[in-house]
Amino acid sequence: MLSQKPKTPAGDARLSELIRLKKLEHPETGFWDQFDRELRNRQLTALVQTRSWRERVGATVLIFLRKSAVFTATASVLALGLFTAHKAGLFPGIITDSKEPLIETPVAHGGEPLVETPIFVVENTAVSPSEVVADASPDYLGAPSYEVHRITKQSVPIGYRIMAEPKQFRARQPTTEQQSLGAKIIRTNNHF
Amino acid sequence: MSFTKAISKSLVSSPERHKEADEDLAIVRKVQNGDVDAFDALILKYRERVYSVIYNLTSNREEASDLTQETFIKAFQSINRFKGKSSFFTWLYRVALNTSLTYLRKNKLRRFFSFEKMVDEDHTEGFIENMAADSDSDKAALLSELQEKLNDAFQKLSVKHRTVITLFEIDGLSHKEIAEIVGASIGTVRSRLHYAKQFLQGELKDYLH
Repeated sequence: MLSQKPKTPAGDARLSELIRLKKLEHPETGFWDQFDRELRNRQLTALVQTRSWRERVGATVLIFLRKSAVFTATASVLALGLFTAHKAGLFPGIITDSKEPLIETPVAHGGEPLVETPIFVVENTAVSPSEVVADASPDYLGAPSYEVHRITKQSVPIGYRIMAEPKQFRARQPTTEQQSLGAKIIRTNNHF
Repeated sequence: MSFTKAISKSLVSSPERHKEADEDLAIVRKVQNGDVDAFDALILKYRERVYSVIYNLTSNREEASDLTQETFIKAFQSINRFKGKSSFFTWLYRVALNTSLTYLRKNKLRRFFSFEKMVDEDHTEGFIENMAADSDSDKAALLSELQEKLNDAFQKLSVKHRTVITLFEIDGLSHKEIAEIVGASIGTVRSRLHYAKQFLQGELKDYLH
């Protein structure tokens, strides 16, 4: 339609005249009387119309539900996304129920860790002697009560989160004073 | 209408509009202060213009009547929110347009026409007579045919373009006033007007020579 480009000044003026013929369209006689009456009634209705408390509560609840529906939907999508990401292992530092084996700490033959700044984690599984760096003394209650591995941040087991680095380790402390290790253990097995 | 005519039209109308705006504002303040009956003066002043705009948007007289009433009810109910930043008529036209657009959006699938009677007036005498003579047809029949073609062409335009051409050509508002009402820039209004005219020239080409 536009590609025809029929527009000329004369045609434009004639078009304006033609369009203004629409001004000739008028309501019939008596239309405005009826219009005024109807409008007056609607105006009065709008003025005196008061809603009962049930209607007001209903309207408020409806507004609340409409607004909360958007929030709930957003929160659900977000939660689903986080759950999916969590299950996919995108957050390795967070405790999961994963049954994957623990990552062993890389330890050199001389007993020194391969990574220079060791941090602390408590492990309870049976380990080979070469991996044990510190050990509870056997003379305390007759048996080792726990074992400590030196690991680095790069090799934190999936099931553990390191909360702090140890300040001091004392092997002969009673088990009730485990916190003196300087680290907060957030997950251990039964014999701790 | 030529560009020069359009410019002079907008300039000439400005002082009158300012005076009107001041008078309207005085009435609005009365209504806002509790004189509910004062609103009748605004209804009486603007009902025909508002009806005309809505009728030309809908091409349905029953819908236009209902929507015009709804416009005044809405304006009355929210008159306290009118702060006088724009003129009352601009504000009222905005209410009318929003009411109409909401209605058209909701009912776009079940639309039908219902025309007002086209009453011939003196100032179109020459134009219609010449057209009737050119086409060898009866004047009343030609008017009826033109009405149908015009409304049909109008309804083929998008609502945005229909609004702009109605406000400019039929209601006689300036580009600036239309821009304020539709919430667009003057450039956008001119562009929509240009498009709408080109479209209508194509649709009504049989009557434009």
